[in-house]
Amino acid sequence: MKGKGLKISALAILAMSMLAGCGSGNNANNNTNAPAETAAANNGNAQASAPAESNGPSWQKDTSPFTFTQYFYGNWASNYLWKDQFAMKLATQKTGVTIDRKLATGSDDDYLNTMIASGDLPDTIMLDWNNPAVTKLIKNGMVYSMDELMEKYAPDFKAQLDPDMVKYHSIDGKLWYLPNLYETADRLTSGVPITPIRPWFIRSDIYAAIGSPAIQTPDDLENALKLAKEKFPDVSPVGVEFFDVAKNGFHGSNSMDYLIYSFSPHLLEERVKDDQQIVEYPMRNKGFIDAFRFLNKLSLEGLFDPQLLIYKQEQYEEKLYGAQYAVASQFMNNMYTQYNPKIESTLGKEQAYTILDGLKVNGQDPRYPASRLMGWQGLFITKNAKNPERIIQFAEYAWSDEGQMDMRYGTEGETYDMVDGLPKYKQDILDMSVKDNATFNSKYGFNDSTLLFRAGKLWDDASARDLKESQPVQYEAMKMLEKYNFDNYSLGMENLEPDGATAEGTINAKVKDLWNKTIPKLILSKSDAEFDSAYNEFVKQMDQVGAEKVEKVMYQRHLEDLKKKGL
Amino acid sequence: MSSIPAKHRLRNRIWQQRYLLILTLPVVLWMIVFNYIPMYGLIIAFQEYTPFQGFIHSPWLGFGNFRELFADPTFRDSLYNTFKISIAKLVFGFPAPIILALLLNELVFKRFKRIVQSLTYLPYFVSWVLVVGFMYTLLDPDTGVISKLLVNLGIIGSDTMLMGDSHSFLVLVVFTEIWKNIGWNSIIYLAAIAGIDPQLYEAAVVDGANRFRRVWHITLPALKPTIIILLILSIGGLVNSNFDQMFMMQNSLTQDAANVLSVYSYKMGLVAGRFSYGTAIGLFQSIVAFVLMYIANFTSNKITKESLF
Repeated sequence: MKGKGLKISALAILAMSMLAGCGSGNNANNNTNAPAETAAANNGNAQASAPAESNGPSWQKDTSPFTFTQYFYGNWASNYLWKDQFAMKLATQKTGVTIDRKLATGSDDDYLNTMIASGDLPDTIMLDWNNPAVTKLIKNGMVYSMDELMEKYAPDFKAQLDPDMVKYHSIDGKLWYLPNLYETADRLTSGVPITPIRPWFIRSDIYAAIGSPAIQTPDDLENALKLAKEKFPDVSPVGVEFFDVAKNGFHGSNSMDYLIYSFSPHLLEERVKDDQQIVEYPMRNKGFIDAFRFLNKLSLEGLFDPQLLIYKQEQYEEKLYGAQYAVASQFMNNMYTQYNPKIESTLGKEQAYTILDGLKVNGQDPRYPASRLMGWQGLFITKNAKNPERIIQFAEYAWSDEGQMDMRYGTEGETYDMVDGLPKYKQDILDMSVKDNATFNSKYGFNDSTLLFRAGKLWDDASARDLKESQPVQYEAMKMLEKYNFDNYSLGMENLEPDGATAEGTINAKVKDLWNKTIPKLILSKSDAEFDSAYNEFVKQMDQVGAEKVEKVMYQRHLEDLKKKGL
Repeated sequence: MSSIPAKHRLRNRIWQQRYLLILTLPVVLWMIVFNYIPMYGLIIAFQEYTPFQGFIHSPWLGFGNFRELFADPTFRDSLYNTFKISIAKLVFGFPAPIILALLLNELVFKRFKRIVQSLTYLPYFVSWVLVVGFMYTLLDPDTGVISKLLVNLGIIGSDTMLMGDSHSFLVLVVFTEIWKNIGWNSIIYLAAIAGIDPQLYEAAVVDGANRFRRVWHITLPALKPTIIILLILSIGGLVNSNFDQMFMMQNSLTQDAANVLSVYSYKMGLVAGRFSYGTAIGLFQSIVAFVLMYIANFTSNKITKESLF
């Protein structure tokens, strides 16, 4: 057995080597440092030579062809790729800028974390501003601050930003990203009515066949489902979207909000315990749990198909296109522009879905927390960007009224006209947007450039009017649910969960994992006692991993949110 | 031989084997570049690694990640699951290709043998993504062909969701693993059988040994070294349950059963972005794998005189 030691170590190395990777981190870091330093040096020079002359918008100074890369967080967003849609072409014509937008091929979090770990970032990133990775990008110095770039290259830009927005989105006194879909306070009163939940719908023919009973309470809903099952044994009684706490948040499935805010109309207020200085996890709230108990009740009656717990979104959508649920939950606009039209054309108009009113529990109306959007993604400019100057100047264009109108409505006289002071698409484009949304998107892309969309009375009012005219049914449905909305802006409940890199963030991830495992157990419990014991077991485990520490942090973040909003 | 100095002996051996050594060179280089050099990344298991600070400047934690690991109940669950699944795979999956190879070898009709052999190793080339996709379709309680068959045979109830049941999970994992790899793994045994001297069989026939006797006294002993080497390697692989398979078969009803070390390492390292913690799990896995293999090798060496090194 000569050379035994060598062989052993060779084998050991073989075994270990499989898990080593990501070797480029160090080099990449050196690279990312360099532009920052040179940029700082330039800064000094610029200030010395002359204060940047502000003759008109900065983006007009240089309109030579320029392309920058962008990663968009959302692998589903193939509509949002910049190709030769009308809106994108117009922006390129005016500014010379083209965005080479990329999507993740698999899971977005994998893709993003791998990029961060290897230091191999694109020029810009569109990432949800409350994503845990945002702190990583900022703390690691991987992105420019917007203040720095605006000061240097786009001196007029800062004045155009809403001061409330700047205050809200600044971290450590600096603005690190520009929010997409930021809405100001008047958004709640103007524009398309906000539907903050996934509404539930019932198939029209089934509803008629069971005698169109009033469905106002969970019991009514349960009875309707029972009747539906009797008369239509082949149709699955109820359909909800997939459950995944990591992806969807504590409610598990986006469809749950409809139930949760009926069973617990004051959920957000009740979570804040000022006396104990904590913001509770919603799972401690009785009403919140009662919403899951209701699903368990449906499951016990054979009205809830357990396959919903293992379905992927695509499988659910396929069954919904086939109108195979008596009652189903879906995003409002998708139901009226995708599912119902398809069902009407393939299965017949009678099988289309009709909206259900909000459910009352103990005689109380539901309350849907309808905040205006504080933003969806943030636009980050990374230190890898070859030409941050052109990018920030392009951002000034995109943020301006001119840019907003170009990317939303195109060219006046060609794609839209002004009617009573509001823009309106030409009739053929308007028709296309309703009847053939896919072609509308690929040809015009007026909803798809999504970069720095923001609220504005002009286009908000115009889109409300268009919706009312072209889709009266959806408009009525939105109006019906709108009465349950309340403005939760002042509650200070935005972005509460702790930063992923902290100890509390780790605990929070564990709590989510535990809750994710508990949901199927609750829904499929064979009895109330089993439900209670599964729930109590969960609370016990949650406390064991240290949930209270997170609840304290969430309280601090709640206070911070209030402070940032100036309340 | 003993009179030649050791130094000369080595030099002579190198000279004698020079062509073989040149042949091995590319592989050795390949291993150095892709397997040895990246190993320095393992140090992040002992750090609180942040990409910006890099491998050298990230703060050191010592064994902090490992202390957290051993206190983490999910890690313990995943360790238990890993061994449970791997041992089931070893017990049922390891003998399967040997049996298949023996059966194939006894076939007289050679064309039939070739057809069977091709058909059994075809699934090896189908990716787990597709296999699990088939499973969801075939085992769907409403529309799945296999589900319907099992219901009609009275093996399962009509509303059993095979893909969403943590009890059937283990059976499905082992069964699909065998189905997918049996043909491929039997190739090695078939090759070893082909190398057996036919005179042995002829002599046995003359002595009046029947088929079963020939398999028992000639084929199996000839296969023994191959079987033992592969068994040692399998034991070393006990901590590496098949990531693709587990990841694909995991859903909200089977997540407890499917949580194995490699999946957990992936979840912590890449999804949650805790690179160091994920690496610590992976390093732990490799060390256990090495220790297991070493023990298996040592034991085998003592008992059967057959060993890998």
